Amino acid sequence: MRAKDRVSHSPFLPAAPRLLAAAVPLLCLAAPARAQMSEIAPLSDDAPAPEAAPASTPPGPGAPGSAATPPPATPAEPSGQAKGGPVILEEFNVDERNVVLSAARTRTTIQQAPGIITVITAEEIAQRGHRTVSEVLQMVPGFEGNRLDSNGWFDEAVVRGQPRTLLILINGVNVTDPLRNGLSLDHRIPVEAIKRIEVTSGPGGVLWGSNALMGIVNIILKDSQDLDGVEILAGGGHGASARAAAKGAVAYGGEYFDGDLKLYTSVSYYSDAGAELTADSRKIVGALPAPEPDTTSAFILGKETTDWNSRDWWLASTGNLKLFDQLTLDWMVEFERDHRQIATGGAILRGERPTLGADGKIDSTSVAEEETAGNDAIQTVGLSWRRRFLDDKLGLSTKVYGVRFTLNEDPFWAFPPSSLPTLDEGVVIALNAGQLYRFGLNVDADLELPFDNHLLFGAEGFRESIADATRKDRLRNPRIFPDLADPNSMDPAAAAGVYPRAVSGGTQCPPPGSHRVQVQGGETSADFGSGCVFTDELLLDSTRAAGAVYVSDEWKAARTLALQPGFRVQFSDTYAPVGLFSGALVWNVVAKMFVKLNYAEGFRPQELQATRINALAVSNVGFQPNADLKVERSRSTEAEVNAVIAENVGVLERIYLRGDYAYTVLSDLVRNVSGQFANSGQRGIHAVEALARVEFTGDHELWFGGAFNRAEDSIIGPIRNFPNVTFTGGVKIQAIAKYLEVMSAFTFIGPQEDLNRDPEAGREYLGDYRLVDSAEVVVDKIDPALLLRAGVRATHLWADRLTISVFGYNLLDDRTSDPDFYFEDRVQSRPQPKGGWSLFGQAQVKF
Amino acid sequence: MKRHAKRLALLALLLPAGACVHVSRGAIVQMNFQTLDSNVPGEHYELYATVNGGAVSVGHFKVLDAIDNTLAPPPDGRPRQHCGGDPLTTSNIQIVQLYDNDYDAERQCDPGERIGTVDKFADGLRLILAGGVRLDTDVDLADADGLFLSVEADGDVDPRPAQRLLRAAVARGTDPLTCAHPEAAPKRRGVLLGSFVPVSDARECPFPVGRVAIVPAEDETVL
Repeated sequence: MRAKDRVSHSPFLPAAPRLLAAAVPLLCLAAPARAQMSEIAPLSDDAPAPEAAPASTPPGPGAPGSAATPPPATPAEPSGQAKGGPVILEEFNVDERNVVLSAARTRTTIQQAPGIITVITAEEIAQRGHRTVSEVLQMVPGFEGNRLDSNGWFDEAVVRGQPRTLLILINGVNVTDPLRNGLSLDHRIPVEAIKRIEVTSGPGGVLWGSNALMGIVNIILKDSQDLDGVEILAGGGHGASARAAAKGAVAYGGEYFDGDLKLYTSVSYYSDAGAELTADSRKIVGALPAPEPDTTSAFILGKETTDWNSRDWWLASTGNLKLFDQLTLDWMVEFERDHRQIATGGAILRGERPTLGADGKIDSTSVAEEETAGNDAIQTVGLSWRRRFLDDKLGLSTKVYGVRFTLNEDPFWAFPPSSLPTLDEGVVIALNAGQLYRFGLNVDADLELPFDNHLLFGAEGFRESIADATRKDRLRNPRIFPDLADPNSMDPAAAAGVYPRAVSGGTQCPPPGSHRVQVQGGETSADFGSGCVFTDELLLDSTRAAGAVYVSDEWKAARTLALQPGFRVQFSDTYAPVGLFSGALVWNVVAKMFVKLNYAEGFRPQELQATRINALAVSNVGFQPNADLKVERSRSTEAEVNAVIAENVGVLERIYLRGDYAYTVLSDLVRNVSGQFANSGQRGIHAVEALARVEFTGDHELWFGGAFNRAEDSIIGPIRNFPNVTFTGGVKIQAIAKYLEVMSAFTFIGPQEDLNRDPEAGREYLGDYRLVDSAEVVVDKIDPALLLRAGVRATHLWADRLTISVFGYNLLDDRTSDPDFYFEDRVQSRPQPKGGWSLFGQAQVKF
Repeated sequence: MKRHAKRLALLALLLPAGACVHVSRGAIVQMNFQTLDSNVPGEHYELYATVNGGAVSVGHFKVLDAIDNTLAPPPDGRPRQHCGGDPLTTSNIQIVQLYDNDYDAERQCDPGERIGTVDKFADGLRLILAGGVRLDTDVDLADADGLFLSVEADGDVDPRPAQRLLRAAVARGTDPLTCAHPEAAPKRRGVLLGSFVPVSDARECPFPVGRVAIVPAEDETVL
């Protein structure tokens, strides 16, 4: 669907002059918030009640523990009086940093939730100058944000050193790409449209199902509670990691018909001219992935910096339309185009393209600067309905949703043009995942039962489909074309119909058109154009349906003790039924100190690319799918101690402390062995995480967090390509109370190892080149990185309307690198370079 | 009942923590063989390592011609095993396939069992040289000081090497066969290096027919 087709024709527009004034283009239909919201249930009856403030009060600095037990109130009473109804988060100024929906699928506090939880609010995102969700996760203990995969193809977050183990939710909807079980968390999700992010460390399969293998990131977008009027944002910046950056956003929020209709919508645009990336050597060509035979890689020694970037851009619209406080339409519709000057396999895409000069001779000085251009957009829309019954004892929430994933890489460069034999045009293909969708329905309920039991139960069903996934490539290896065989030819190759084949004066390609082609394992067909270029099926059209039911009970076994067992069973037409268990104990030891013991399970369904890739590929790389793959499973035992201490002691407002340990076992891990996907082995992960936050009177704050991970695998031994240690910390100071805020934060990423090939060990070839064989491997040490950030924010200017901020990122200009995800050397033969410093400033004004 | 709830819950939660993972201490063995004959029927290769004075089997594999070679016998006249690819569309390369005593002919040629190819100059289509063998083993080779390649009979269950063909001394970061490298290369991190030479070559500086790098499963970075 094109962008202009997505313009909403809301019937409310004529009746809403404020909407017209906002002039906010609505770029599509909406989506919901699916988390069931019920009251926060205090563990201890004598726990202190938090302050509740009117919704119009600007959110103050939250503090864990300060609102451990906010009083229940009905949605109709946003002033927050306790009346025994369900708590609606948006209508309270409760401590937002201590409230979580994702952990228990009901609203509870992070201190009491059955999981290891970190909540990041919109205010905190603004205070710390986060530009992407990946940057947000960079500062969550145990997470590593901004982790490059495939030389910048994906910018992902990694939890406890395990890639692609996160369930990414937008408003409670799974937006994790089923093709590869991952999702880039770059500029596609505009941070100014985020209300809060709830991060769960550890599995959460019982409540959330697929993909909650090692963690959950629930991104909750803003709604009308967050804005009354129009907000305009404009900003720009520059630096080695984001050159000539520009940003603009418009948002509108308002209520109509006595609050029966509430609307929030936003449009955000971000663009930059990419990063200066410096590779430590210039890879020109190298091996293709297995099952292709390994080959020599060719390098040119010496660093190379990318500086020919086209502009990348992301355009996103989010929104939330609520009717009668029961029916909600919410959406995030995103479009993008980004470019990469380093191929997925690490080849710098600058090369020499032999060209003919005016005199007809080869002009070898022509420099080719190529880029891969990608569009990995996602669009999600949902419609939810929520209501409570039986004197508020029963809550019901349903949500129907759809997610569209795009993965279109055209051109997708593998190797640049060069003067090496046959590489004068380089190697370039195109990948298109075609029509990739997920549609689903969730039904969640909660029920108050006797003897202090609170039952959560629900069901879901969803369907994923992929169609028309194609790959464009150039035929390089000879194939037999039965319909082009010439039995009368004296040339055996021509008689058999072999193309391409050498003929006098060049290479002969099959004529344009659709042809049958013999490939390993059978016969297929492909559409050929000129010059041996063809398009064939990348993945077989397929669907995957899944359904699940779950139940979880929170039982207050004692005044200070809650137990929460849970069970889920998930069915699918492509994998065996999956049964998942969970159990949690939360003990309010004393005052605001809690001990949690959790046992949690999760699973990750098979990537569609592992089960549905076309085995009969005409292309040079033919992965073998495995339809018999089992799902990957996780089992985790976790212990956490958290406490809020020193409340209102001297200059201290409070200190929040959290420490946890988890041991997780991953089993049936899917690996690609010689081009074939297979379940193999187990992995054990020890994780120790800690977080401390000290809040001072006057809204000053100091925080520090850290994590230690140790992962060991039954097949490949210790996991070395992810850091064992990460630290993060910072300080926020109100330089001028209410008006001027200064912050600084750091992230330390410990050393890692990367299996590579050593260009220095290669042998010389044709002067400039170094040929490096597979035995020239080296385990490179990736040095630790210290990323320093600092910023200034002027707030409440111009009668509380204007906020201006300037942030500097990676101020030490630490040009760090990332190892690849797979500890492999033949494709990603060198570390993946990352960008350096940058500055970004923005102004935000509300009317 | 509530009195015992805490104790019961603690017990229930701690029970699952017992499951631990067997951790591999194995290694990746990367090899380039410049020359290595395809196996004759009924035999395969077995790679051994010498660790702490003893020999330990690292893995079994077969070297097979990718295409049907029956019409082009090798100079020594001994038939070579092959996987029968179409000579029109498949390069005449030697593929290296994992071997196990219970493999049938189809599995022996299964691409999923392929661990590499013997080095060969490609015919100009993609690269200068194709080749390289990666053998993943669960044997701890961190303290290995040598490798040797033996020719074994199919179905052999004797753990001892039958007929040693190639040998390679290995050392941390540097190939001990220094005479094979006219220019001293800088030490390479995290690997044991060596060069394969024929066992029968007793010269002081034998001509290498292959190279090897062993990547032990060690994590040398924490802080």
